[in-house]
Amino acid sequence: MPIESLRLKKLDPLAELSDEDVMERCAQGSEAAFRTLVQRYRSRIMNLVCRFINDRDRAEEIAQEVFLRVFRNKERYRKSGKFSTWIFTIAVNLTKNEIRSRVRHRGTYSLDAMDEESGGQGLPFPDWKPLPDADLNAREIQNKVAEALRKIPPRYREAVVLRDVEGLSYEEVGEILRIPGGTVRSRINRARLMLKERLKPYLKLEDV
Amino acid sequence: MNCRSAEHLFSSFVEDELSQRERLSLESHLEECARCSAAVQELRVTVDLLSTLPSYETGPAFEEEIMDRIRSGEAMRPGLIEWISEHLAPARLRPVFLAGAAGCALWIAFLLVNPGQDAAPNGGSKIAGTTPKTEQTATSNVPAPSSAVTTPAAPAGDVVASAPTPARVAPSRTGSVPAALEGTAAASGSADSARINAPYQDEYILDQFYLNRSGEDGVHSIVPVSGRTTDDVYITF
Repeated sequence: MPIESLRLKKLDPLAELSDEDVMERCAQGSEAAFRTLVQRYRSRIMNLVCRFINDRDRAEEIAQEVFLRVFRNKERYRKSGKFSTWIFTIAVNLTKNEIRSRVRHRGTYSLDAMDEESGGQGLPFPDWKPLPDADLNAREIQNKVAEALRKIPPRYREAVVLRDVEGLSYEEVGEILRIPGGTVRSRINRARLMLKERLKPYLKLEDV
Repeated sequence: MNCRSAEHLFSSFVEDELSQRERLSLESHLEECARCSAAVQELRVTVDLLSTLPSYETGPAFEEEIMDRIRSGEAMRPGLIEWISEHLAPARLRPVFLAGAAGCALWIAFLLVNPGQDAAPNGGSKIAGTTPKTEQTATSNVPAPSSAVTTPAAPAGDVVASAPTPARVAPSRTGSVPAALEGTAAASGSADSARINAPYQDEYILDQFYLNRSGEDGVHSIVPVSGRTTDDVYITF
């Protein structure tokens, strides 16, 4: 084994551990283990919350709160369950609370209104950079996909985001959303069909 | 298979999760239906596009801000909603509900096993309140006994002056023990003695106790009909 990799392994003994094992160490009081979990999941949680509420600043606050809750409830975590399911459940619940709060304050929750907040373009991608001409079409398509995602009803959006954007299994999606497997499949299928209809003009551009 | 039923299988087909029978049936339909075939292709591209969406990143200070909030103790202070959801969660309240249910079950079981015991502390007044007064002519000059056994029910003079009347024996619950209480007694002092020794009318009838006047030394006592003389006697009127 190369010396460099040995050194890296020694520097970060948590790197090769599973999420569940790292969480166990976190529950035993290891700050390094908690930091490892933050590093592993910060992007996924931020991405998930942003897809749901379309408000970057607020999404970052919620993402922080997700990790604070993980820390606060670390002794209550059971290793028998997947860590990813647990943390995504916390994130989805906090996001739903946020949406409910917005509904209460506004009287209604309008995705269009949220679009207006972001100038009708949705959130710009954080890694937005000038792209070569060949990639312009791909970037336009991605914007359209993100916009279509924001337009479908929340119950379908959350299912398809967890499955197709985050790549979770149907079982995990059902566990996180607390809905049976048949309902998960039905919602995901319906969401995909809705997205397909919205993206139809642009899919021709892609021309499979 | 028609287009409508085929549409329900599109997602599973794209993810290769159909059974062989369903897959063959759908493929057969897709060969005949250009519209559904195009829809499946579009759906496949849609799913691919979703998985390639760029992700949103947190700010550079994200991790340190979390650690600062933990060090400041903020992380250990749950919000109101979180506190309520944690402390009033069904899983947390389950032991309380179980304890309450067990308590109720024990109380019901106690009532079933001892149907008459529950009324003991207040039973006296209840019985007195429902017991009909009798022999009004003979006891008209006898005031109603007061609220405690040890309290003289009436001035001794009145009691002594009352006319002797044969005691009426009320039917007893057990049948073998007289259940007529001819007055409230078990008292001490001259007033009480005078009252007890008087030919008292059985103005009040209780089915829990009776006045035992068979003592050779003339001592009267209130005896529970159950015969258990160790029972505490506590009667209120």
